[in-house]
Amino acid sequence: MDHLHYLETEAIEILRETAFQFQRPFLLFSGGKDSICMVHLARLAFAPNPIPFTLLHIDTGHNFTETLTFRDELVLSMGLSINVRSVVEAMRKREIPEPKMKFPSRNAMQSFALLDAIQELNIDACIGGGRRDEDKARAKERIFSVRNHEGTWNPLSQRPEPWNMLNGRINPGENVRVFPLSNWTELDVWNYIQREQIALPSLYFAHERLCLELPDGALMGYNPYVLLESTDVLVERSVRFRTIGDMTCTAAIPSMAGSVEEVIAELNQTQLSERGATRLDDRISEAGMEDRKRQGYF
Amino acid sequence: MRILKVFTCGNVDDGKSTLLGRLLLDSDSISVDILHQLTEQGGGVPNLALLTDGLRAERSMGITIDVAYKFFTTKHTKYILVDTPGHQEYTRNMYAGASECEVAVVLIDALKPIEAQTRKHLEIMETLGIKHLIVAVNKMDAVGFEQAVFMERQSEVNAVLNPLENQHLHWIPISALAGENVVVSSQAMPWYTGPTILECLESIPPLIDTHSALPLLEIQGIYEGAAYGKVLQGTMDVKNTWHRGTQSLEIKECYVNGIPKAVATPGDQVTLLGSDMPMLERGQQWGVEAPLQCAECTVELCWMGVAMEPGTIELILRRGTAERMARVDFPKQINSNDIQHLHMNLSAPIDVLMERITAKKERIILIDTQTNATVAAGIIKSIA
Repeated sequence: MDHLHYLETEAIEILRETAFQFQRPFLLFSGGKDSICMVHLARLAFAPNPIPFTLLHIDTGHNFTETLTFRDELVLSMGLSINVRSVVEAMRKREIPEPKMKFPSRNAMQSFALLDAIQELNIDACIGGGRRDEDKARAKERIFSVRNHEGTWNPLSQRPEPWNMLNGRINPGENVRVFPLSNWTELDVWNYIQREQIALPSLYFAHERLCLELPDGALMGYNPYVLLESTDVLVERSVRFRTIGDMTCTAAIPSMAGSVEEVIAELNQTQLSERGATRLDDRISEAGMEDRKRQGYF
Repeated sequence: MRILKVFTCGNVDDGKSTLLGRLLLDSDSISVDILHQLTEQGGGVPNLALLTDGLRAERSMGITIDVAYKFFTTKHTKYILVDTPGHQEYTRNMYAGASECEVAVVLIDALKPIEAQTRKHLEIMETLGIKHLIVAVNKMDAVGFEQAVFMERQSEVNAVLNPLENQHLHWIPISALAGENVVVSSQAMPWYTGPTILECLESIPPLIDTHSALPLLEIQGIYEGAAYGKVLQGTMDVKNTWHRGTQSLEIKECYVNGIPKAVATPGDQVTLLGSDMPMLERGQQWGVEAPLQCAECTVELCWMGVAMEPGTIELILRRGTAERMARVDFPKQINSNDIQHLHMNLSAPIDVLMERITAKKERIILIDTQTNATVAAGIIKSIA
């Protein structure tokens, strides 16, 4: 069986199981390529009927404008409904001060807004775009990943999923994170985007951008949240984004790839992993993702 | 590009995680930043096991606790690699990880006679009906690459192996640590002229799909007047008449993975439209020939929950999308990771196809009614 057909079929089955096993499933939408693919897959899964999920965007307030514009256009053109929850509001409620570092990322604080939304909207399943190839903690996670009443993931007591038989039974207060793209790699996602001709935000393709060049060579798109120092160097470069997260912690990569085909060719040559190349938040600690997940992260 | 699911198994410290790491490293599938990290952790040489041991607890104990999924591609194949734990305590994770795979790479330690846990893993593979076994005798570097050692391990494994019908066995002497016969042919073992592990994987023919089997559909649910289902086997044609018990079903229109089509193949996700749809229910199977009804069965189970005393308890049985209450008889104590044949009575019959039982394809899980945890998985052996 062709690998893209296999992955598509598997994702559709997971999305359907989510719709039929849960009462209030939401689809986490960040405006990145993975969540855009999930919306596409959800449309295929329930065609010719409408997608039975409401989207949920956890908004850090540090999003790229291009992402937000794309999000709004997609929601409008596909007739979807979306719930946007503010990270800043969740921080204010908990009296968490704004991070005061050079790159003041609210990324880790997304968990608070997500946990608030789960509670207030009575969500029993959150469909996320996480992939096992992104990180070694994600590589260990189930497709239906149960979180306890505090939103905590316990990696040492996960439910076995033999033959992909997904057990979504939960007790009140618990919820499940669902990962339909578990077995997809970055390249699979791009090959699928090419096959299905899925539109993406322009950030994913090469464009001229004013960037801050870090000592290790990483390029951060210049934005008003980064605290500039006198020694910082701003340069204009042809770049694109491999992942689209919070503006303050997502680095750009130098690139000339202007089309999906060129991006695929570029990825076939690249020496760096997706998150290693672009995510400052993952460089902090070896178990960064596991720790954040244990605290309720996506 | 085809897809192939492979898992590694064997006893603790036989080098399963190291082998996967080696496979990824020598096929250029590890990014430089990750490799840099592994090399730092290994004090100058990449510590390959840390690539899949992704949890804090695993790294601090130096063992694999739970299944890790890794991916790599060659020209024609996308590989899903499943690294399963070797400890007896985590056999259930091994069972679950192996359940979906077509190929097993069984690691045998050249330094030691085969142990109880390896025998257990071979037993599980038999239970699951894994078609391709690659038995890799690892750590050949530590025994001077001696052919005699390789043959000794080979005869030990042969003594406990009950090869299944149509099962393919491949024997390969390797050193995962040194990278001998994993991706690159070993120069140190001129007496072995067979393929490396990767060459062996590449030569495994595509799985024979059950296109020619009797078409069978399973219903996932009903939404907005349409039925959503999956083709379990056979080639489905929209013109087929479907049967279940004494009922029959006609389909007017069909979508396959979201696209209007008249024909669907095994595994496909279908949307069914027509006036008969409202009578369908989640969990039903519809076949060109009506499936049987099963209210009582014997299941070869791998127990995944806490130890149970002899007696009868009620659990939730799940077969595909069907759920029933099951009264399960435990004639003797069952411990976590045990494999036993257990008899059970269901609250109402479920649909099963005899063909699928003989093909080891009617699989179930059992769910605890209080905790909702998945406490067992198994294969229906016979129905009453």
